Amino acid sequence: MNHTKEIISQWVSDYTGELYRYALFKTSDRELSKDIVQETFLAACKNLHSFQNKSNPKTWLFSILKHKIADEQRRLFKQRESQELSEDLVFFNEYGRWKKEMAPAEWLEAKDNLLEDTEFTKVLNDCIKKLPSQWIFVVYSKYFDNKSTAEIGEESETSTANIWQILHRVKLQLRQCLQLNLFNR
Amino acid sequence: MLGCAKATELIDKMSFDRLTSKEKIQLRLHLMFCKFCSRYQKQSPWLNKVLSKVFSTNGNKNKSKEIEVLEKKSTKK
Repeated sequence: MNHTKEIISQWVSDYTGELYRYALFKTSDRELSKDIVQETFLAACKNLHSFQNKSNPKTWLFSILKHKIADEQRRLFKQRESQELSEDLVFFNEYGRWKKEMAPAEWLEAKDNLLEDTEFTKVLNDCIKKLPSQWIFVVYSKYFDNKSTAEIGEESETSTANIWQILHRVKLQLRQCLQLNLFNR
Repeated sequence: MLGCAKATELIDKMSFDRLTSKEKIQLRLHLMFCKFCSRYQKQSPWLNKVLSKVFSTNGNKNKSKEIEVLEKKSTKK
């Protein structure tokens, strides 16, 4: 059908971001995620006849994506878990106490109206960009889509405990970044 | 006694989920003696506010360069 190209182009524009962030979250591999997303659209293009507006295109695309990710994951090691354990050592010493240079200082300027300040917003956005990209999926789901930890866990087939672990690390890193660049001068 | 690593975990967990009674008591004890984690406890909800605000105003509008490139590649195929 001639409509195929238009439909797929529209879906590429609408869903690439979400599909990519999800793939990156599940695989932690940028290049692999990009490949998987492209393959997903390719598969969608080939099988468009079997879609026929049966369901939400996003749901359908995500199911293709998830299958491809599952295929890849069968071949991948679970390196991520051992990586995450060592992340705590960035902020805390071997006794589980705050390292001196990482410890929270008093933030006297942390008022609500600080959010209107352009310099603050700039530093904040820079700090957000520094977050590990595979976590952005969780951050978006929580703070943009306002999903609960349970919902995020369910949708991404990850344990709820893992989800709030990630959110915890996001806060630790963000707090540290803001303290370093704003509140400690 | 709870260490700071675990205490901050519980502080953040509080905003998403319920703590067990045991966790609540352990955390309270730790906060009595740890000024750093007490500060963290103040800063954490403020960070939630900040993150919610920044994502509600920017959200989908700022597509990263990376994603735009990926969109172009996918359309070509």
